[in-house]
This record gives sequence, C-alpha cells and structure tokens, in this order.
Amino acid sequence: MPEGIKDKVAIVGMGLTKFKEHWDLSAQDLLVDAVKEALDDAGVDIKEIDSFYQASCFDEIGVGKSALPLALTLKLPFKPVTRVENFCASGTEALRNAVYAVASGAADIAMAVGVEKLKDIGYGGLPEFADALGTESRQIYPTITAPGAFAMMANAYFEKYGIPPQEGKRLMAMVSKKSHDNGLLNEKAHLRKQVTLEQIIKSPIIAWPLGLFDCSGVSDGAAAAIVARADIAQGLRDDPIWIKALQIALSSGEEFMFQDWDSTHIVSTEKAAMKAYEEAGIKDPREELSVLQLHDCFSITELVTYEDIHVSERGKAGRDVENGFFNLDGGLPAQTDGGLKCFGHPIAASGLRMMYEVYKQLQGKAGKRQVNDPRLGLTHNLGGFPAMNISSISIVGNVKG
Amino acid sequence: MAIISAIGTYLPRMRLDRKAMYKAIGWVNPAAFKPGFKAIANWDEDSVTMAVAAARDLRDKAGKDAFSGLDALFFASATPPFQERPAAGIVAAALDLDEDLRTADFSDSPNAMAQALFAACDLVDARHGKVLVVTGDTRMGRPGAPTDYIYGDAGAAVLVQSRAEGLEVVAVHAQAKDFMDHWRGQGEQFDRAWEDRWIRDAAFTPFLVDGAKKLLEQAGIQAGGIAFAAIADLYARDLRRVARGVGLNEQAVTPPLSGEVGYTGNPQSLLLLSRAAAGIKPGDTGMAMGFGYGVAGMALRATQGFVPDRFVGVDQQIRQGEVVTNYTKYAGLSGKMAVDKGIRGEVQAFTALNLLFRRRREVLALVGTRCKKCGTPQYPPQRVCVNPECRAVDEMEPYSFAELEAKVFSFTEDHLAYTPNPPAIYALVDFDGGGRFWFDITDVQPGQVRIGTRVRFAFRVKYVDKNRGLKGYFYKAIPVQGGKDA
Repeated sequence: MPEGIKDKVAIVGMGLTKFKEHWDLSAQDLLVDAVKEALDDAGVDIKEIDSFYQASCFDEIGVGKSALPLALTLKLPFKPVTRVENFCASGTEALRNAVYAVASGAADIAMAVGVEKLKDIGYGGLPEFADALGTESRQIYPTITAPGAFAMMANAYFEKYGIPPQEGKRLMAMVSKKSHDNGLLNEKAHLRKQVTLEQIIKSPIIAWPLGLFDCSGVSDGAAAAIVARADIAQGLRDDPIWIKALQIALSSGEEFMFQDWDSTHIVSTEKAAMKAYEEAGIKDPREELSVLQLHDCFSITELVTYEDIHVSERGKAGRDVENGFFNLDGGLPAQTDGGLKCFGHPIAASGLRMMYEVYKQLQGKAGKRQVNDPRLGLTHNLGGFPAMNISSISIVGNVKG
Repeated sequence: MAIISAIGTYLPRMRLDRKAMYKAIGWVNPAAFKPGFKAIANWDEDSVTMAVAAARDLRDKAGKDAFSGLDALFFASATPPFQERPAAGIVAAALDLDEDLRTADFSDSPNAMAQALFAACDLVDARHGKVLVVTGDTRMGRPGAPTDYIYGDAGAAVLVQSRAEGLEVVAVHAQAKDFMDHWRGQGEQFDRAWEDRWIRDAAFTPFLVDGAKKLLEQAGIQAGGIAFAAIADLYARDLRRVARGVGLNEQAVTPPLSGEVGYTGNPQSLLLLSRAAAGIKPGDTGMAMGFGYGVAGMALRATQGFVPDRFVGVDQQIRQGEVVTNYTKYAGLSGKMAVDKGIRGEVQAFTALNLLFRRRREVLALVGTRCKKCGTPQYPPQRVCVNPECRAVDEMEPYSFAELEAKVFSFTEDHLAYTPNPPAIYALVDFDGGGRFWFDITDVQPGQVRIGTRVRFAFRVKYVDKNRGLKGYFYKAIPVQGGKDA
C-alpha cells in the first residue's frame, strides 16, 4: 500500500448551485454561480488558483468536449485546465485530480468543478446512450437504461435473500422516504416534497421493480471545490476539511463476462471502500464514520452500498434502514442533504454535490440537517451499471491527524 | 438425382385472431373477413430472420453438420429487407457458413422459392453438390384489405443434395405468366390485388390444374397414384376443384394452412410439405405446387430410407403459437401504423459498417472466444482472458454461442428504454458451459421472465434506421418453451 493522500490536502472552499430544471440557465451560468460561491467561501482570488479540473459527462449536450468551457466561461488567464470524465463518477474524479495536483507539488491551490446541463434534451430520464458506450456496444448490448440496469440488481438481490417483491419494494421505499424527509430541509435540493411510503410504493413502474420514486431525479446543476496544500489551507481558514482517502475502482469485465458475480451488489464499491478505509486508517466504518453521502441513483443502489462499504451486513441493510439507522437522528445519518433522490443527478456535478454536504456537515454549517458532532464523512460516487462500473470512495474529516 | 434431404420451418410466435382484426378494421370492408388466425412477425423479424430461424430448425433436425460442404445458399422472398444487399449473404453470415460459397437471391414473386429450388436441383444434378435454399416472407396488405386478413408471415428452409435419403425430385415444371393478381410498386409498403373472382376463376384453378398435369406427365406418374400433394392454398376452398381437375385423390391433398397461419407466400408450399411429411412412406410419390405469376411444381418420390423426422415440425409450431387480439398493436409492430417513438426513440447514431464487417462473426453469428489456457468461454471476443485466475493474453480460439442455452440470473422489464414493443425486457445470462453476457429478450410477455429462466438465442433485427435505410441484426434471448427453470 502506498503512503496515500491522508491529511496532505484540504478543502478550503466549496460552491453549489441549486439543482433543478434550470430552463432559463445554461451550463455556463451554473459554472459561474458554483465557482463564485466556492471562491467567496475560500476567500481566494481565482488568479491564485494554479490548476483546474472540469468534470462533465454528456458532452453531446451542454458544454461539449474539452476543458475549454471552463476556461472560456471564467476567462481563466491561460491556466492549465483539464476535462475529466468517468460517467456518473466524473465529479469525484475532478476532485481526485485536483487533490493529486496539489499533493504532487505541481499546484498549491487547485479547483475541481462539475457541471451538467441534462434538461436540454426534450425527454425524461438521462440522455439516450446512443454512442456513449462506443460504436461496437450498440451492435450487441441490450437496449439498456440506467434504471433498467439497476432494476436487474434489485431483482437478483430480492431473489438471493428470499425477499418477496412487495417486501423488497417496501424496503426500497423506506430508503427513498428517508432521503425525501432530508431533502425537505435543504433549499438547494430539487425535489422537496413530503411523500408517504404508500406514494413511493405505488409510483409508476419505470423498470421493474423500480418505480418513479425509487429513481433519482434528473436536473441541471454545478458544484465546485477549492483544495490547498496543508499549510496553505490552515492559513486560509480555521476549519479546512481534510482529505483522508480518495479511492476509485473499476470493473474488470468479470461481472458481465465471467460466471462468478451474482448481480446482487457492486464489486468495485467494496474494493474501493476497503482501500479507502486503509488509506484513512479506519478500522470500523460503522462506528467511526459520522455521515454518509452515497450514490443513491436508485433506492436499490443505496441499499446494497450500505453492505458494500461494510456498514451493514450482507443482506441486512434493509434491517438497518427499517431501524432508522441512516436517518438524520440515527446511528449513521446518510443522504443528509436529500441525496441524488432529491437533488436529481446532473451527472458530473453529483460527486462534488455530495462532498459539499459532507464539507458543510463537518464544519457544523448544515443547519436543520446538522448531525451531532461529526468527525469523518464518506462520499460514494458511482458511474456505469452494476455489471460494469466506476466506483469512487472519498473520506474527509475535520481534524488533521 | 437431386434429393430434398430435410425441411426446416419457422412460424413467428404471434397468431392474430381474425375476429379481432374484423372488430378493429372490419368497418373498412366487411366482406374482406376470413375466419381463423394468421401468424404475424414480431417487430424484430423480417424475411431474413425467419429464413435463418427455419435454417436453424432444419439443422436441429438434420444434424449439426448438415451445412458442411455447402456449394450454394439461395434465398427467396417477395419481401427481401434490402433492395441492394443480398439477403443470402446475411443468412450465410448468421449461420456462420464458410465464406467460400455461391449465393443468390430470388425475388419479386410469391413463387420465387420454386425458382430457387429448381436452380438448386440443377446445381445438384450437374455437380453432385449440396445447396441450402431458404425463404421468408412478410407481405403486407393495407389495413382492412382482404390481403390484410389473408397474408401471414413465415420462413422455410430446404436442403437439396445428391445421395441422401429424403424426397427425390423426379421432375420439375414451371409456367411463367405475367398475371398480375398481386403486385407492389417500387417503394410501396403494401400489396395491391385485382379482383378475387378473376384470380380464382381465371388463374388459380386453371393454372394449377394445367401445371400439375404437365408436371405429372413429365414425371411419368399417374395422378391417381399420388400419395401427397402440397398445393399452395391461397384459396383453400378451391383446392378440391384443383384436385378434381388434375385427377388427384382428394385425400392426397395436404390440409390447408391458411386458416391457421395465413397465406405466407414463398414459404407456403414448404410448410405444406412439412405438414404432409408425417404421412409419407418410403416409395410414395407426391407433388408440391406453388402459385404466383404462373405456377411451378415438383414431382417427388420418397426414397427407400425416407423417415419423416427431418421434414415434420410445422404442426408443432402451430400449436406453440400465442393468440393476439390487439389489432392496433399488430399494426404498430408491423409498421402498418406509424406509432409514436418519443424523442428518445428518435435518437440514433450511424451504424459503423466497417466495424460491422470486421466483427461480423461476433455480431451476426454470435461467435466469441474461449481461452486455450483455462477454457473459459467469453463473449464478446477478448484478447485478455476475463478469468481473474488466468488473464492469459492472446491465447484465444473462436467459440460459438449461438446454439447454446443459457440461464437468466438478473433481468428487468424496462419502461423507459425505447423499443417498438415495450417494455424492453433484458437480462444477464450465463451460458451452459461458461460465458455470460446481457441480451434483449424477445417473444415474451411481461411477467414471463424470472431468475432461472432458460433461454435460447434467435437471430433478430436489433434496430431499424429508416433515415439511412439500414437495419442492425443481432441475437436475442427467447425463453425455452416448456423449459424448466433452474
């Protein structure tokens, strides 16, 4: 195991736009808004930032390819800007790159920005994948969508643990209900609506067994983070948030080509989480972590992720959900900002949006959603499908060392 | 002598109840109604996919080496999917045949199959060769027209060779007449037809009687001695008149299929021959007659070693049909009615044809690889072994998945994905003997797929790109009928 990133770099400022269907705003407007807030928060001038990382996923809509959109929009004075893209995990990739730039000494201060303008396509759901999976896959892959891919995992999960479909739908509904309750308390969330378990369970089926309320919303948004070397960070503010671990794991093809994986969980999440715990020096995540922001693109994803990150036992995440363990007042609050469920999922912004919530929680600035005396927070940002994906785990804390 | 050594048949799963058709569209022309059912292709079937399915049925019956050493593959259809792109070539690729092969398409007529078959016989006679002739048709009548009720969809395949057991082709006879009973102009979707009475009285009976008589004369066979007569049943009620005119024993006439599957054009006579085969005994003489722009027929004699196993099957396929009563759904699936696709459905990228060609075995024949080091089959073809314990590089050999069964271990019914026949049902499946991949599932209703469902693979249309005049073909999983869930 390499030495790792722990405590070498800290987040010194963050910005987040409201996530919603921004019919009247372009990606460029969202970038400016998110970056302005981050700069104000950090108290630095944009000229002081040495290196930039722009995450955006669906380049067919919104900003297009390359990192030029960030440079042109912010009028960056001939600075190094790199576009990063790793499906829905793109936002965390921007942060990881910015942190590594600082840790390497190539930059003192770096910025990560994620932006996605999804609602310029004219139909619901994510943009049609078309060529997004490559020209060959279109000849041989099924007509897969994101909800469909994760619904497959739900069916296999229920089958493996002997959970009748209606009971499975109830467990998933409790996952969504908790997030909706949290989202109500967050002015930046998109879907702020009191919903009942019954409404969730009876929502129209999108991909069996997932109903509309098992799915995250689709929205537009941007988020930004400014990171600095440890000594600089301490000079900039009293409460920098320390990077403890940044890990990412990608599927190696085994899941969908080798007869081993059973489709009931996400292999790479477990792999990334174990490495992250090692990097951060965490022995017992259930006890040591204070707050979680998981990639709840679908309720089932959140449910199995509790198990993949070793917070719940295999097959028993549902029990923890039922016991309210992940509620705002529970043992380990999760999706305290409302999650993807309430924010919606402007792809490349989501990873940084999660970090924004953990950052605020660890600074004690989460208002009505504030969890009690948090020390360590975890974000989980997942791209792709259960059968082939990119899973990243970030751990941050408010105490150095 | 050319011998028909096997027949393969294919009927699409859905059977449209004509009473339901009448209820929906009978107001157009109440007199057009015909009773019974007709076999209708799913949206992802066309003459090529049904021809492939029939050829695979033939191979199932005749053995996996049935197509080894083929000299030629002929395709016949009145409804080939392309004006320029030989259907026989697509069929050959889907069957993963050796590319050193003669191919030809016979087209423009519901009786093109006979011409293809005769050409096959000539080739076999001349060179002691072996020829596979396949056919499929999806002719369409305009909604409410008599042809809307009459036309059905099907595929058939026939293997012609020398020195085999089967049905020896004793004589062939064809008559060419520019008799425009049904026709379709360039770029038209629907067949047009002249008056029924004219077709029946001026052509159907007289042409068949005259053609059959000349055929039997040529073969030196007495009509009264004919044991089986598979005669195209465009007008099933007139078959008795035809038999009487030729002098056939009425019992010898194969019971018509048009009430059960419709009139399927080119495949029809072979479907009838398959139906007749159950009763054929060694030494029996018989005939098969096709109708359309004249007539064409073959006089046949069962060889001494004839067994029906390689010929029968259509009746079982009839029993496996699923009755459909939703006419507008049929109209939507068949393209008779342009239904909404949504903006998502209109998103379509260009097909990379060079990619398609270089990976043609992978896409059209479902050929993957197997690792020579650890034996793990994998699809699509890999260079680095996917087995985490192996990971050998460049140790692969080709491995075919098309004929294997597989088991569903994860699936969904997706209402968001665009498909002409929603919901999109797809699954991750484990192949028997190793290998896994994900596939669309077709010919299935919501609720029918479960974890453990056993599936086979069918060659189907994956997408249609109307803007560029293209179609993509690939394999889809179909639950094994009567298959036991694991």
